[in-house]
Amino acid sequence: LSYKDKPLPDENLREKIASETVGVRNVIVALAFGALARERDSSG
Amino acid sequence: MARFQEADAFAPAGNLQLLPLRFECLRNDRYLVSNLVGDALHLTRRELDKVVGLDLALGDGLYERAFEKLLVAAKGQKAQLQLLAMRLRSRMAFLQDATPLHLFVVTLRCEHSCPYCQVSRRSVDRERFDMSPETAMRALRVALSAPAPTIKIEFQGGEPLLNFPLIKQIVAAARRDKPAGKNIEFVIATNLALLSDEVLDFCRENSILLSTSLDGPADLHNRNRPRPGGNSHDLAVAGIQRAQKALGPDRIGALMTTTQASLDRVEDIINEYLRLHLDGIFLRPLSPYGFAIKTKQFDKYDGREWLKFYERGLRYILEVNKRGRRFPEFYATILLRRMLSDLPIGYVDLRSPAGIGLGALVYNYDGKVFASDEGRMLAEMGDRTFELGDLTTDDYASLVFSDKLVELVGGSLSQCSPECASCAFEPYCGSDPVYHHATQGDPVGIKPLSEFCARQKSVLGLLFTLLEDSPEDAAILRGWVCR
Repeated sequence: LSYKDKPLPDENLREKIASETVGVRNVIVALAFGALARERDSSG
Repeated sequence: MARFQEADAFAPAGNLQLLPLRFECLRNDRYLVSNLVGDALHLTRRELDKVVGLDLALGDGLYERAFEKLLVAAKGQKAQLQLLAMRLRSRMAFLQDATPLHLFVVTLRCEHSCPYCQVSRRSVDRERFDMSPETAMRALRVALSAPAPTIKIEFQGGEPLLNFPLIKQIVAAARRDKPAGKNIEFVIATNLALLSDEVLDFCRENSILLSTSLDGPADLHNRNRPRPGGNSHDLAVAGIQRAQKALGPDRIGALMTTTQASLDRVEDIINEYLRLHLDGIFLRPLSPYGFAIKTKQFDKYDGREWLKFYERGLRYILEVNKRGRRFPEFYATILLRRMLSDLPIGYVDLRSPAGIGLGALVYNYDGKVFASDEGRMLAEMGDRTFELGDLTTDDYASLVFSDKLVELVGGSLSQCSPECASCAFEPYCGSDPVYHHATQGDPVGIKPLSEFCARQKSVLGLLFTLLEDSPEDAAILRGWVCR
């Protein structure tokens, strides 16, 4: 394996995933429980 | 005339985004990868890296698997985010029906003297350790004002049948005073030693369920659960059979507790449940409370020994099921429901936010109110961390919105706890602040040192492995969830 192909150590990979997905995670949680969910409840 | 676009128009190349996911190495080059709502894939490390690096192409198989499990999405596509949000909301719908479980400790007295007793039972002094009718009616007012449309009132002890007259009063008052539209279920958690025709008639007339303790065959049960006469097993078995006949086979359930003496007897224990036509078994470890600590029962085996016991038991139960007898293991069933569906679970010890207060309230014989049964067990040991208030001064709102409970529940979110936040098993697990407070002095818990965490990871890993590797076992495990 070249350096480029070597897998990241687990903790680095977790960090990479977290940093790349924190934004979309917040959107999903907001859709589920935040103002958008309340709007949906009140219109339903 | 409308026409379909060419297939290339749907290709995601260069237009993908990663969705929140977590992973856990199950063994060697095998990783369990789960999304926010618990959809899971088994991937090699190379495949995992390709998913995280979005190194995917239409038709390569991995793209289709990752897309189906909502690990990746097309950039700007809202439907998948809305689907994840809806499913996340569904999984946490238990929060909409707050406090469905209400435990009434009608007495702390008990005629058994079990060395592992987690509630620190007393043998004497009716005046001091029985709940008074006034306290019971105050507790009932709190229970009936909980928002949940269906509440369960469970009579606990000690041995609650030692204060049977109070149980009758509470049931009658609950039926009389319940708000329109509210359903009430009743359970008596009893060792059955005092079961009488009067009790059975009352249970039948009021649709009351019975829950009892059965630790296995006579020698093991009697060793774990001593009482005058040494006949706890005889009384429990006779009681189970009488209750099955009088109330129906599904109106009585039993729970076992694992002691050191149980560890090499799991088949015997399961066979005893089968012999008595019980509808399943809950293989439970000892909890670190009450006499289980005082008599050092809790320290007599460790988590690894219990896990060996559990795995052997689960594999034996699967063999029983393969021979045609439907017989679930209930701990696995609870976890499988989280793994295979988005249904919210009612089990208060395995959810996040924790079930303390929001899932259950405990009204102690002396009028004190606790956030969980384990919380009152700790209080009997002198630790009142989970005491929320007193029935003489508090109502439902002041108990559930107390600063103490809000702080404890807020700190219990496994979704953002250290270790849990990045754990692939988090969607199926829960937080247990009372356990972690009792064992580590910290309600959040230090998860790498937590036996709760080790147990959860091991059992979940075992279940995922069975679901993936063994179609015959997987069909049985799925069947336990479907009913």
